Amino acid sequence: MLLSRQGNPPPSQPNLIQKLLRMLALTRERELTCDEVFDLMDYYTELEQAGENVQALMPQVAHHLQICPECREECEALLAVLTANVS
Amino acid sequence: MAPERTNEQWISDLSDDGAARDAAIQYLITWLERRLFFYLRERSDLARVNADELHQMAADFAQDSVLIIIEKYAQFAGRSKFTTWAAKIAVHQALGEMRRARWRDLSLDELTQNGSFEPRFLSSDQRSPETEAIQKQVMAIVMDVMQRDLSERQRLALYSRLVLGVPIAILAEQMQTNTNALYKLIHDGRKRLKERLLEKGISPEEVLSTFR
Repeated sequence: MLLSRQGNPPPSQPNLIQKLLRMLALTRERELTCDEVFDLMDYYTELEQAGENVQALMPQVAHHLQICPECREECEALLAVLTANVS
Repeated sequence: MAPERTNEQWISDLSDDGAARDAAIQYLITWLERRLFFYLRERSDLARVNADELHQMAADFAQDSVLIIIEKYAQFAGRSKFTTWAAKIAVHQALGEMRRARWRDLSLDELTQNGSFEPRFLSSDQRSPETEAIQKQVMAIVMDVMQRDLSERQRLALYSRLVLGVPIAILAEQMQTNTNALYKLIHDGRKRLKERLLEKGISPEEVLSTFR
């Protein structure tokens, strides 16, 4: 691969097969896409902020967040932005 | 700061063509900028960036986001507070920009030419020499299934996500598709792999437990 900014291949990863198997274990017949999760992310995050059980209330979103690191990062960032103590 | 607007007030003010709109936009820029700054300040990968630069980043992200918000506010469905919806767009914009900067030199061309995305990449797994026989067996089957049952695009996408950790939006651009279509391509690949393993009597959950 070419990551010319770094100039090196990615570091060897000791657990590729585990990562793959974990991903397959989480794989479901029907999953929400990133766009579908993005549409619901504001509502999901407000519920989470309110201390609601989002896993039970919005299981498909919660499931996608386990699979997709970018959506997970955005959800965590949104929560951080909403709860930032800016006063 | 003015008292917080209701969702209806936000829509009404942004639809105005005078001072109410300007005030709403200015409030939104300031509101987002301050919160984005606090978020950026906490990111470990920005620990070496000084406060002035972080303020500038937050200001740029807030400005860019508000342009998008102005364009899209009619799509606001009212499921959350308007400011939460706006913050969602700002976060998406900010993180998208940072990911684009981080991965700006990525090229999949060499990957496709040298074939390093092909399933043998799994054999470079650096586990101890005492790797259990069952794990070796599973790895061989996974590699075989990937080679036989997944398309080259699926293998390339899976490798880029799993091994390189390329963000889906960046990879979609490189593969000349969109994130939705790419997610579905990878999802179909995962489903096919899982089905084939299950047909061979291999449950990913059970095999995972042998790694611990």
